Amino acid sequence: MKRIIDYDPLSGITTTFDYDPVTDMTIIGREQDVEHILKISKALQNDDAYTRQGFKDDWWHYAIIPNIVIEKWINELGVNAFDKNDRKRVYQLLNDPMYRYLKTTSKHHLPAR
Amino acid sequence: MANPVGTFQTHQAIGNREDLTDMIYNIAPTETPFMRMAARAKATAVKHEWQTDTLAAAAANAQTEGDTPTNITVTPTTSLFGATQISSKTFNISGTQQVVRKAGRADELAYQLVKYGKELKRDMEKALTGNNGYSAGTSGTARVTASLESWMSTNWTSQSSPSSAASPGFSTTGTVAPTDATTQVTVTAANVQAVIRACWTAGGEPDTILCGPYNKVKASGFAGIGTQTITQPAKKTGQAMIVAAADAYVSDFGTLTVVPDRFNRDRTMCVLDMEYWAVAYLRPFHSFPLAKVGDSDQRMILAEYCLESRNEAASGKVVDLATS
Repeated sequence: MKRIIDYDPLSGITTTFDYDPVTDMTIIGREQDVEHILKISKALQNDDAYTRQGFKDDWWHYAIIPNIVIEKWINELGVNAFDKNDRKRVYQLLNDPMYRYLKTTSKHHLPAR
Repeated sequence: MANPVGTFQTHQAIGNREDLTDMIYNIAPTETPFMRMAARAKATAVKHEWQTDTLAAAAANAQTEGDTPTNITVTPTTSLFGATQISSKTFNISGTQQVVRKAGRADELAYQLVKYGKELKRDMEKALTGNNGYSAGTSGTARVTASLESWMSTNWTSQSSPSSAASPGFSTTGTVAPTDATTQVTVTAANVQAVIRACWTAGGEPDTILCGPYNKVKASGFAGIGTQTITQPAKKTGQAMIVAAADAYVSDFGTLTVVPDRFNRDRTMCVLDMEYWAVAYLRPFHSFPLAKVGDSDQRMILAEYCLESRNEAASGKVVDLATS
């Protein structure tokens, strides 16, 4: 039976626990409502003035990556968004059509490494 | 269980026989980002020591033909040290609780390990990213590892004016806790960028800005995301949602990720080159049963670790920031 270990009101993330005695497997589930974050990303992506201001200020906002997506990449792809050595791979993922909705700009960037 | 629209899910299946250290590391990694980002190293003594070295500053270097060279005075490496800190959680499962749950003992033990492993990790994140100074400890006082804020003494700025803040960093008697200024002020993009520049000048390549929830929202404001945008639609959790995500930025200094961390002090924003931070474990996460004293099973999860600052000058901090 799935049990809730923790609900974090600050992040809106729920952590659940489940145990399968047959396979002796513990399953940790994490859930986050990302609707609001995606709405912000989409609004910013459609705002060219926002990107231009970013270039001007030398602080170009490229993407908002919800925590749950970071965890999905770690668990399923072995890509750690926190790791500098995975930075190129992270930007490749952000530029991929599957995750392009996380971008806050319509322009393209790919770090050399 | 029904999920609200927009819910994104991920699941991590963990076999109980998997190494406990990996299991605990894998639970909710974004909750304790510093631990997840720092390298994992090995400590072999309670006074953990390591060495750092620096290159001399670039200088004019032109020699005459047939020159007789002069030897360079070799500078020895600098030895740094820290204390390993013991953090633990002890839990008790009653005999009744073990039989009333359908799947029984293994289920309950796994649940408690996950729950308290998660709590232990949060305690450790707080210890690692906070402002604790080094303490060698005594028979009656626990050893304390110097925290992230305490190590950084080269590149830091306090926006509070006049500032009473101090950050002496490492000395021969150990790393000293920083002193906070009495007033706190709102963070500005200029100050954060000045610290990033200072880290670069010192040879670092900062890749992460670690900040508390209030200043994560402020950092989003640097790029011109208005409060209206952040809180729209008028949802009571609007601001909360933006702190549950990392922001990717591109600047002259490369790509940076602004990462929210609810366990470091919100009044300090850390600009980090994560290549130079590690957590050295004398004893990695492990759990063991304690002596049985009644109709219950007592178990402890424990880790003994030390924050290893491999070059504090590659990172920096903006301190004394407003938190509300």
